[in-house]
Amino acid sequence: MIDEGLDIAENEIHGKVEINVGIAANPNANPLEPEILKIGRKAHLGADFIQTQTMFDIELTKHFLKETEKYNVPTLVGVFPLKSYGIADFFDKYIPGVHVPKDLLKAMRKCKDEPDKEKRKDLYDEVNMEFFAPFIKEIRKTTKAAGVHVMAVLYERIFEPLLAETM
Amino acid sequence: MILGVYKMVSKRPAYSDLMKEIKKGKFVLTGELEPEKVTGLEEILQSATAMKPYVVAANVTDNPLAMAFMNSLVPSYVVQKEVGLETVYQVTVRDTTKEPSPSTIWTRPSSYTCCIR
Repeated sequence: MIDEGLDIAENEIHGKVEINVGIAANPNANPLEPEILKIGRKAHLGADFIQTQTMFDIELTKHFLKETEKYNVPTLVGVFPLKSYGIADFFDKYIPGVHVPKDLLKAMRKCKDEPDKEKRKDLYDEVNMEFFAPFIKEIRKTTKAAGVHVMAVLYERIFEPLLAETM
Repeated sequence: MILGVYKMVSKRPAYSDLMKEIKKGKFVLTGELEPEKVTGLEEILQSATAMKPYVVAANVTDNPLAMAFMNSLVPSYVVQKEVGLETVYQVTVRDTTKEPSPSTIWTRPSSYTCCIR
């Protein structure tokens, strides 16, 4: 509708509204079926791309991508490099549907005990690289996902090694 | 509306760099910028400058987790203008009503991408 220059009440919009519309999706939803149907409806209404909630489970990601394949909307899989143990713990506890894998959480917990700040940073980076580099590689190689959405808020330093490793 | 198999109906041309790259079949990387409970944009501009070489575009979040943070419109615009990094201007539908949500969409910060949550 907006593409034709009309608003919701069919009044004319002056000027061109040239936007691409993305939608959010949550593959962690349980049960998943209603979420898939919702995505279907949004795809039908003209979504250009999908960005998903943060994913830690590769099997679930693959399952989700397979389920939404029929809608033919490019999907960006959300990944969330964990800047610190505190953030990891918060995500695990308070974000609906998101579970940080126990091993990853344990590895992050270990890094937390390093007293030297710089060393601790390096340790965190190492743990993140170990988990996310193979994760992104797997998505890139085995699925039809259009890309990844890296939610590294205030953690820009991870981009460089991550890119070098996965692209 | 019948629930079931849909065909992708979006025949919209690619306006944004992000969409262009996706349509080319490239594996894209997008980042995320989060304006927090702040009144200045320094932090977000720094963050955007730091991630610019690595990503195609960056989302600017709109009140994530229903926490009252800075609205995404202004940071989206300023980042594009000053840093030159394309932003995906998020609009959280939860936080708008039926009437303002379209108006937020066409005052988009010339970004041509808009992610409706």
